[in-house]
Amino acid sequence: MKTQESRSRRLSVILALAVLALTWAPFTPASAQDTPVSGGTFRTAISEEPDQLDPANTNQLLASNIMNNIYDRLVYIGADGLPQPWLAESWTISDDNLTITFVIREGVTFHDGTVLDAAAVKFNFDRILDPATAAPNKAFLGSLASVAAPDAVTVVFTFASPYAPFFTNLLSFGIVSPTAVESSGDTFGRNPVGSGPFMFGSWDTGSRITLVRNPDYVNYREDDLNKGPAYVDEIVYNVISEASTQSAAFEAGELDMINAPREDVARLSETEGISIVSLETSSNINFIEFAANEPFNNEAFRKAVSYAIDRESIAEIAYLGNATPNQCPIPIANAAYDAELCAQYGSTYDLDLARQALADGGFVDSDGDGIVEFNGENVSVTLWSYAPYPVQSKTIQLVQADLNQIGLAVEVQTVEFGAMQPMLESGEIGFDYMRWTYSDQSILSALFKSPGWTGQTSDPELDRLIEASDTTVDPEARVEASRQVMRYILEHAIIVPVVSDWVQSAVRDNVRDYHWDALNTERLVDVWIAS
Amino acid sequence: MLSFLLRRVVMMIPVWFAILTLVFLMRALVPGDPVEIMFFGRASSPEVVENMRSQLGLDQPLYRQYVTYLGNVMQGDLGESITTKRPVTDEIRDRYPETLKLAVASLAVSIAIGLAAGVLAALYKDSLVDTLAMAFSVAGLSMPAFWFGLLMIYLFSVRLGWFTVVPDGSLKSLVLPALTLGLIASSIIARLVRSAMLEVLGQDYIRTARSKGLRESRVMSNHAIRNALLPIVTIVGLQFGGLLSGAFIIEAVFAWHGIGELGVQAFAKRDFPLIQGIVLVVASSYVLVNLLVDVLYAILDPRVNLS
Repeated sequence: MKTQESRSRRLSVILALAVLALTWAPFTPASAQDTPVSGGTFRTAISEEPDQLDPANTNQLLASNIMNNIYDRLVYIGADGLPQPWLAESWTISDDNLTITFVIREGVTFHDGTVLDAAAVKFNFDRILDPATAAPNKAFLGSLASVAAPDAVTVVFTFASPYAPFFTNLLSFGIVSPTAVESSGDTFGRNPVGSGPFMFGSWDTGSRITLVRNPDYVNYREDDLNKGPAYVDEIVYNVISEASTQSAAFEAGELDMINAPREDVARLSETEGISIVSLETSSNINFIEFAANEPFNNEAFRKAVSYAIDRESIAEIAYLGNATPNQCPIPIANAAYDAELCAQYGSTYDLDLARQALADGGFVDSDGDGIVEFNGENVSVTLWSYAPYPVQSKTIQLVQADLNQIGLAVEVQTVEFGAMQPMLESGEIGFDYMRWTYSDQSILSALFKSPGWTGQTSDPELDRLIEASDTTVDPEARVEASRQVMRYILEHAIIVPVVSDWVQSAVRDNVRDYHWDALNTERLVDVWIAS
Repeated sequence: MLSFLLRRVVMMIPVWFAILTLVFLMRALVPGDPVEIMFFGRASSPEVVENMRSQLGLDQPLYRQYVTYLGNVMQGDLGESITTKRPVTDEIRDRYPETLKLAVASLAVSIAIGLAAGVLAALYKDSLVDTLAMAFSVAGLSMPAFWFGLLMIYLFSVRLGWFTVVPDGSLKSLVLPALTLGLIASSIIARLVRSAMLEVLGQDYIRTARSKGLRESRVMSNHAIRNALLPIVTIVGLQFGGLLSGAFIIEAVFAWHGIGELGVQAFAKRDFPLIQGIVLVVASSYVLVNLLVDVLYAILDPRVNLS
């Protein structure tokens, strides 16, 4: 039996801050000098209204950002990429990796007074497993077969086959109050009740969502500074779809924090009273993916593209410097990320090597018109991305220029988001610039396991490697298994990784201790407003 | 008059029917599916997708979905939004009053400014007033609404601090979006009023009225403007219909949560029941405004007989 006991790391607040700042999570400045004060409202903006605030009924990132304040979870993922105790104070994994037994912390209650015990946890996961719920995030539970609660503090998760992504995927499953679900029925998603640092306050349709402080909160997370109730009285999420309007409201002093629009980062960072906080180790990955038809299924073609990607210029020009070039087919925040390995097996910008790759694959310009031919025909292709994001358009134009230089006739085109998936699945889109946000190594499985998320991947060897990564429950062995997948992807240029764009917020200087955790979620329990 | 109104209202039924059918046909033509969009860039499994589709009735053939939907609509049930799972009627009820408020306020602004500028330009034709009024009109027509809206926010909210950027539900927060929309709409009205007035002012009955010794203000109000109003009512009606369908760009810029914003989001997510509900309401608004215009015609011009 492998046991993960609750570890008490006795670090002083300042040491914790220093470690956090150095390793992964930047904070708003000047936090260590002052003593937090309670009170005030933290006002921010969201670009659209979430569909629901019920973890069983939404898979929106936007909804999960809000839900993170209302619900606590069984575990969180620490800076080392490993699960840490939260509502579960410890757990054991059976030797066959098919059973995980959690010990639930005693004395925790939901905002409505209901006791958070093993039965409540079982209720939560049964609800998601129930096909009648049609939970969009059910896939995140993988091979979970059943959940049992033999006593008030023990929950046993039984899997049909070992499922390594489970701990990270718990990120999607805040624990909801069973009593509230039963009394609210279909409207629970608009009247959420959890056990987190903030309670649901009100939902003014279309305009704003307000959360209020839970005065009885005890924070069991080691990675937060604040172990008690949150400092701010309220969090107000204003729905403002237009980024320029968000910026204006922020500059007019009506908001305390906004997700900084890339175009405004430079200007805002020079504005007095405002700081830009950047999370450079983000869970984002931008890449070029290919369809399974000619010439995209030709490894030489994909290799040529991989050599023709100038990641530095893309990060500098398209992303205005707010992205990190990434050669790995996985986000930088991921435990399996390995820059050295990816530099070794991936491709670095070199147009001569790109031309060579084309020539090796039989793509030659025999009629001297500057465009290579394959099977006697000029190679003319379209690079796609989705609208309406300036950074996507700029990136594909930069790539287009380089691909034209190596003798490929490339057009660029963007398509509305909603229309893209059927075009990907039909293979109508030959290659495209795509962005995913994902916290776990199972992004490799979500993207590439046959038939792949676009229905264009079918590679038994790749499937075998992915299977190994998905079923290796031991975290360190799993990282090794995921690296084998990454190596295979790079060797065969199955996708071409480009950059990981940063998560950036513009924050007023009187907002203190604003930060993210290792999985890029905001920790507003720590935030306080200096007078 | 009453039978005319009744007839027009009854005529709305085939219009609704046609709209619903067209929107339904759109499902077959527009690429994208609400469940696929929900999982775009997110993990899913075929089992989860299938289960969701069957819960939403999307696994049924389109004609059967259509028949079910029509049956429900006839019972006053517009269905549930696919994304929020709330009744479509609730979604629209929360948003439509906002759109209505903004539309009425902008219309008032556009009529007041458009009429004043147009009449002045016509009265002082070829003078500085005329040139200024028409320059203003050209500017209003050619300025992108998005840019103009942001400029208003920057000037009045960020620099001067007279208004909040985020609407707080007060009447005051209506001022900037209504001014922006109203100013843009007034430029068309001003041009129309000017040309209509110029035409009317050259008519014999104006000369007659003046030669009778009527005061100029009387000539203007009773003879000139009233006659010039007819073509203007049509364009104002069209504009109002457009405003009621939600001025999406202005709504987005001013964080005004009307039906335009809702419609764009519903379309992006292919939330078909919601799209259908919105289109139904918007189309009905158009029809009603048209009806209102016809009634106004009869009031303004005794020669028009509605019965």
